[in-house]
Amino acid sequence: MKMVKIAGLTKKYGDTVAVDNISLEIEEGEIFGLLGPNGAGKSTTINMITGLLSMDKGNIWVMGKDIRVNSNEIKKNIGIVPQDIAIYEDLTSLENVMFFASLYGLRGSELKKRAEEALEFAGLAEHSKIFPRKFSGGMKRRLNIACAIAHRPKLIIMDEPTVGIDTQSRNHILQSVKALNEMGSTIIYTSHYMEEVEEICTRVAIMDYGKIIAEGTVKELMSMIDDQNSLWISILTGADRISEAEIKEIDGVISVEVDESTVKINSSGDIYNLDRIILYLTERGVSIRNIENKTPNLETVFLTLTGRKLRD
Amino acid sequence: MRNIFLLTANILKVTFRKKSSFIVYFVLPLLGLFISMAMHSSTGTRSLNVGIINKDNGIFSDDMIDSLRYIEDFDLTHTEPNSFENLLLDDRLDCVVIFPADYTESFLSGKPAKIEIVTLKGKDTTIWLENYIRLYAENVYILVQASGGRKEVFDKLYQGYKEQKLNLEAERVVDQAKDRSIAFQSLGFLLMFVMIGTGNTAEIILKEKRDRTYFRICSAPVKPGEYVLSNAVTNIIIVLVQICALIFVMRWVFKINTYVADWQMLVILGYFGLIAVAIGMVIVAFAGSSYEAGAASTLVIVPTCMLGGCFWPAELMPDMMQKASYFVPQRWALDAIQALQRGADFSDVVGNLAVLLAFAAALFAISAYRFRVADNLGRFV
Repeated sequence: MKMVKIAGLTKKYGDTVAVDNISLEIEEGEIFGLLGPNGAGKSTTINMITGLLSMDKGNIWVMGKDIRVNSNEIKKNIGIVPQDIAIYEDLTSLENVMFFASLYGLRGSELKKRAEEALEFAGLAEHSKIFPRKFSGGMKRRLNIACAIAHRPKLIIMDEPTVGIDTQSRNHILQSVKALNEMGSTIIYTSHYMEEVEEICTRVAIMDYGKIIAEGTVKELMSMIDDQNSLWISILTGADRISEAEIKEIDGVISVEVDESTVKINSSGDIYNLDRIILYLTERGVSIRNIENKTPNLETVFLTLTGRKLRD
Repeated sequence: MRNIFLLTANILKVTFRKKSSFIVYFVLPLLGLFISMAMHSSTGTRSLNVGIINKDNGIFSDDMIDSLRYIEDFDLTHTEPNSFENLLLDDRLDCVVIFPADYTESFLSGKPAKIEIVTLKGKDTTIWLENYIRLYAENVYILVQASGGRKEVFDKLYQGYKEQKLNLEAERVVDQAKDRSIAFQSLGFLLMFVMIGTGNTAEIILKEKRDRTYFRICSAPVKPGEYVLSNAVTNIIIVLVQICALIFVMRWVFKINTYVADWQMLVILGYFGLIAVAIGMVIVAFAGSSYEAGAASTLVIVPTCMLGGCFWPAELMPDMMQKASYFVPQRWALDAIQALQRGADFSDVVGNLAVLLAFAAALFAISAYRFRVADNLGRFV
């Protein structure tokens, strides 16, 4: 069964096209990754899926129902973890979860039971009577998730849920996403952290400038660039003397990214150009520390498709 | 309906869990009322500082000045013609009475000269003094006419007038006009404070937008109208409690008699409270930030209160402004209160209440429409 079906979806803000005629389908039981840099149109897309934003063109069906016609019914089956923490600082953790769950029709002892379960799931059971203002950033993010899952939604939309938190909380959240999926929820997971998407998503769509530029399993996306070599050259000095445009003129080079300590180059797999790259760098007095042939990842896929980094 | 109850209960819980909210919502408006009471009470009881310039030095002007001295509310001072303007500017005198040089003579010739009264504080300040002087002059003029121009007859009549012995029984009566004026002006300020409360209405919703809880509520199966209505209900509850507290303090702490039954006052202010809440809702529906909402509140509240007669009687304004004042709800609320103070029946002000209700309905409709436009959320996601 299709959990979400999007056809020809378009959204404009004035002259800016935030989402440009996208179509995609998400199957029930998937963890679907929506990957793209800031401003790619990910949040606008999920806001239209949840019915918070109107569409200029196209249509969305959730669980086979048209969102324009059945908005409230669809909302009952969606849990949303917004990018920014959306909780009341003046309510305790339990009160927060209970209030939001009550808006989905839960009441009485069932409401309390589900709220406590959600806090347990988020690892906050021992903090149920604590006000969130005393929480760390990671704990607040986990409460943000608990508020979205107490009503046991069939579709959970997580919009960059790991932004700005420590590794421990991040790992906890990623494990939680997998666990929620195993419990039967379909997940839409947006992020600009490609490692997270690689780790948990069964399928991925890459967005850029409002368009879906690639879609498939992580393996399928990787195969788009398996005829390429990814070369990471660690440098000690001389980064300011390197011109990305000049390196791109070397035969076989597809994309280049230079920062203070690393030069990342994608080249066609069938062209040998390592000697010319090394020669270019040494002629400009760049001190090379290490050369590594990297396995391509989603970052490389994005870089190859757009010529830009995901975090631009 | 359940959602409205849940949202209302939650807003009240979140708002009043902070103790500072009690200060913002109840103590500050009461403090404002206290200040306005103090201002109006002081202007209402102080003696009038009257400067006297007597160029006449005749018998009538001297006698009139003597008679003014017996009146408690006038504090008389003899003033020089070259210094009275500075005394008025420095606020050491409220007004100056100038008797012309031929005042007594003009009376006797049957063509009384005009006494000049100079003030910088408006006609309201000197109206009682003018009335007293006019009354005294009219009495003397009657004697002049009765004497038929014969001086010996007039002297006799005037002497008798001055020496008449009357048995006086003094009784202090309550100056209802002054009390009503104090109550009326305080109510003007009260309306302003009720409107300032609308800033808090806006702040509750804007805080929800800032904290993104608004976004989470809207992603739940809650209709925009339910959200708007729950906020309106919450604020109406707060405004009604504020109004009850303000009426209680005015009535039982400051002992001000408004000359309007408490329940009638509550109904009128309650209707006005609806408008105040609706204005807050409109502001928040259009404002993108607390700064914008604050600026919009000030831009709406102060000019409409000025125009509506909250700071001064609307009757003092130019004719065009008086007509324009009927486009602001304050005027209708104050007119209703004034009519009841003058003894009108409550059924006489039902029209005013209908107008207030129409104002509120129109404003609520605008805010609901604005909230219903989903793309309004876009800026907050």
